[in-house]
Amino acid sequence: MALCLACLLLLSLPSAERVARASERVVLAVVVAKTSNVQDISLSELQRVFTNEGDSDGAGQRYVPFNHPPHTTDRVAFDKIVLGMSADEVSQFWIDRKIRGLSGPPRSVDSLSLLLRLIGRLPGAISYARPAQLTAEVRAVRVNGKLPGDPDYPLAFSE
Amino acid sequence: MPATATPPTAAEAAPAASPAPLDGAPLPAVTPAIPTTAAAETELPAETTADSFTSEDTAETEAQHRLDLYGFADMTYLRLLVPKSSVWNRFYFPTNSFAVGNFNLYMSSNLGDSWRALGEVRFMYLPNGATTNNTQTGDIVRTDTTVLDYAGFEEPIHWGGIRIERIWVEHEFGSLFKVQVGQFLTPYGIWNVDHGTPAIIGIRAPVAVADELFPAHQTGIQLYGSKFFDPFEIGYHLTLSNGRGSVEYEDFNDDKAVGGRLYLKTEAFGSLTFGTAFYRGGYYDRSAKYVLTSKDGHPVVDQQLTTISKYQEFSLGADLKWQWKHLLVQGEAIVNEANYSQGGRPRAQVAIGQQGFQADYRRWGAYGLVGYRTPWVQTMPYAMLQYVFAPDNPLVPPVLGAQLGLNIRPTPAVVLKTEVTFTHFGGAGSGGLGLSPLRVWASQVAWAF
Repeated sequence: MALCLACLLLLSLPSAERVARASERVVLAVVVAKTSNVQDISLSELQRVFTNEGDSDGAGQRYVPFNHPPHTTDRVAFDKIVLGMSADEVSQFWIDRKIRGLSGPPRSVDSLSLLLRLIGRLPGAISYARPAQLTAEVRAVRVNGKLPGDPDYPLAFSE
Repeated sequence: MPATATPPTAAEAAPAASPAPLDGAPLPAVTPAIPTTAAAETELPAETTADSFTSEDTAETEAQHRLDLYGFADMTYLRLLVPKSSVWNRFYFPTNSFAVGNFNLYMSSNLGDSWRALGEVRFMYLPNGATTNNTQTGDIVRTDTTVLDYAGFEEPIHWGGIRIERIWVEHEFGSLFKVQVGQFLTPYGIWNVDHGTPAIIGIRAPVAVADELFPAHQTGIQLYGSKFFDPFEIGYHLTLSNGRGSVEYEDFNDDKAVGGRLYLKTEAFGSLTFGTAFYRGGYYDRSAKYVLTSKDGHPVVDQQLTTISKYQEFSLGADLKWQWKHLLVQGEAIVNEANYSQGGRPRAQVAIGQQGFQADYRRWGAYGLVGYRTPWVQTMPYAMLQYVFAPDNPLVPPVLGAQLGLNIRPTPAVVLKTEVTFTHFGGAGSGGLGLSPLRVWASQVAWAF
């Protein structure tokens, strides 16, 4: 019954609005601790951070990336935009890298609240989340000079 | 310290156990994720560090270091595409056989405070079946490791061997300075470091790599690091080691080997890496026998050493790897030269003709590989062209080889390969093997676990 009602409501919307709701635009904020010195990071730096190249920020603090679990919507989108890889390509990338004897992937954290607390407390920690999900312990940094909500912000995708 | 067996992409490929996705999106039917742990439910410790925390760890294990066990293996079927009369049917092995080639196990651990350790061992059927030849008589002797299994009813079994591929501990002072101590893969080119069959494109390494124009492994110290100047990364490796030798853990003289690699990498137009490498070291092998001498009239047991082979060698290499979307282009060129010391020349390996002493030599080889990963079951058709020229080795004529193959990756951890190799020799060689062209068809399944 509820499903039928929802379908009726959806059909009653103008067609353009239906399309907009079907593919909602989502942005991902790159988040660091409120106390972090990092203000801006380029997409290429972000790619290196999340491929565990061991880079440091401007103050010499080594980045410690944390990921969302594989195959979640935001993780898949982040990997596609930042690393340029699909989920399978990401798996393949890390298998090949570990066979080469290099370090493994960034750690994944299941719980968003735990992830954000980690980012807020661990020096150098960096991750990503939707702007509405940010807590007082973390803040968004500019990516290629743009904040979430700015036009042409690079970490945006259609859900 | 408990050991936790973790596949190479635990974070990428483990089944999901998390009840709460981060973004509120529904999880797909097969949702890889890290298992939910007590850590996710408890407050973070005040002194949290990257080494002490993973989403897999419980609060109690923060002082412990997880041991990752992972590895790869492969099985190859190889068949010669030559007439029955060709001598290659007697020389080339194993042919027309299913052969498990590599079974390599990695043990990796983050030891905390920027220390990391890695060990890789290869389990082998060898030395069973390995052959040695008597140069005087021409007899070929096969090693037989058959023993009776005391744990059963004394049924015959073959024992095999374990080869240490690498074992090192590393400390990172920063991205620019990392020190590795132990046995490591020589940092040159692409193929030697890619190393594992799931990670390399073809089935057989190019001859220039397989012939070790650079030594594949070294035991000693490696300093390496990199610096990122957006969009370029410049990196280096410096090595000090025992160098090439007949015994991994003993250098028979003080002549240490030095080497290095310098590379430039950018992601600005695809992923492009250009590198150069060098190696300079001495090789010294000797035999020994006990002799009795005297000192102050007392008999003294001593050892008399006889040089088997002694030379100085120098290798130079250059490599290029470019990945642009689904296109892969890679190539390496290597030159190696050796100069024997006075009294250090071994007998030349000459099958036919007068056997003299080994001349100083220079040999070089190069290969180029092009592949394109299609979306169809992640299939990559590839072609490789290689050339090896060793003018000072009479046994080996110039070799021009071409390989055409398919590299199929149905899942990230499994690779299916099939390739045909055409080899043309630029001369007969002193053994006459170059008179017969060599064509090989090989298929392989390689998997990471």
